[in-house]
Amino acid sequence: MSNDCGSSSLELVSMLNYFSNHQSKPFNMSQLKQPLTKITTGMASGVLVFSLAGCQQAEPENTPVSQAPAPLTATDSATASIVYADGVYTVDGVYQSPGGQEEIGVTLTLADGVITDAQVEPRASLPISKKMQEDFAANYQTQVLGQRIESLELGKVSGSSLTPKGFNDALEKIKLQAQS
Amino acid sequence: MQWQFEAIGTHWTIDIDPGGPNCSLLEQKIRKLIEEYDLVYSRFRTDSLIHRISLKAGRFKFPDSGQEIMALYRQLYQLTSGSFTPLIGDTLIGAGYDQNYTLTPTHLDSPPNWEEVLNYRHPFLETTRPVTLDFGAAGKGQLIKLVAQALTDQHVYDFTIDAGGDIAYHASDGQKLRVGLEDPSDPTKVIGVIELESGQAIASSAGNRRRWSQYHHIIDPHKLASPKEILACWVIAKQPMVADGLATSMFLVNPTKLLTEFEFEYLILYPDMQVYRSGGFKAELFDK
Repeated sequence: MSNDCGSSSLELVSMLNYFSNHQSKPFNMSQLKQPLTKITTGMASGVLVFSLAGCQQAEPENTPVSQAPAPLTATDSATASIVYADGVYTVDGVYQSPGGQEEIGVTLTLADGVITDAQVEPRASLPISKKMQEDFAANYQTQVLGQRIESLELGKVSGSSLTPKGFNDALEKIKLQAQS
Repeated sequence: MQWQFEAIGTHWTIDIDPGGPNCSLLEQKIRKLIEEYDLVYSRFRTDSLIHRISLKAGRFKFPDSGQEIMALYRQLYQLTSGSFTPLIGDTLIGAGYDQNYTLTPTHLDSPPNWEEVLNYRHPFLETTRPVTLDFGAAGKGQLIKLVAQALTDQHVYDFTIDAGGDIAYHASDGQKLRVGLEDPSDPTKVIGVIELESGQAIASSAGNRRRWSQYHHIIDPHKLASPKEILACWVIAKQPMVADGLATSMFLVNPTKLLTEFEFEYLILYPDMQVYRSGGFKAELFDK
């Protein structure tokens, strides 16, 4: 992954989501390219928020850090990043998934401002299927960009481009009415 | 040999290889099958079974297809805690997505619970009051499956069925089909390419096409609002009806919930153009 803020936040998201599906498995944080700094403990009903040490926060204040299935809500732009002393921390986290709020418990080991170990206790009540555990390998793209169809050799295109004619006609009518 | 036609409100392209002498007879058979399906399940025509069910309570006989589609809807209804429901029809109508496409929201009510209104014992549906059922979330997929079955019954084993961007593919030589993933904001572009295998189906759902006022064609019955967190998603499954139903369900619940009961691969595209996909969704994605 590249060295920028967006991909690092996605790696974190990837880690958290991986854990929520894999029921507590050690994740070697040294695999992350950027050190992470916890800025709030959110003990009771908290929101896990991480900022990136040494990373310029270019996003505006109310932009979520990521919108992948385990997004973190940035409640704070990275003005004050507190670096915690080495040790083990426990955080109760909630994150927004497409289906609603999910809870996880996270135990982090920090050394030199870097998370050297993380254990996640998923709180979802669903059984985790074996297939998910075997196949799960989240693949993130920070930003996809469309490429022109003619430049590619495609057999078919899958999308929902073709809306019912009646629908489109109705939309046109409404547009005209709105203009008059 | 390629057939192209409009049906169930969308554009169909069916590629058959090779085109044999009975091609036009087969085409007629397929189009008749599709028309018969529409006559049962469409809520947009006044001569359909669904329309009769919306007029008054009663006992209604479904064709053979009813068993499978009602079973899928029941399963997804329970799995999504009622977010995925065939009873969403009246809510869609309240939002303006009615037979006349008025597209003007009037008043939205939450749909009733399944048990309050519906009792399906194949082939009969009993209703306790008039309701508008909507099978749009999986009906097209089931119809694709029925068409595929009709083709293989006639010993056609090489075909691609494309119904408005939902695709079922069979190739007796095992060759894969390169399928572009349409950029929801620009139909001349794709955000990636996936290689579909023979025997696989892909379904797509997006929130930016059929949209009006503050709604699009998927309404979450618990929130009476159209989900905005996802821009589009794609689901690959063996069964076209399942792929279709899951593509809609992905707007309503976390995919992990759906994975507890279904085998499928998926890709979710977010409004900010970030992507999340399952490990087996082996697509080449573009970032420049």
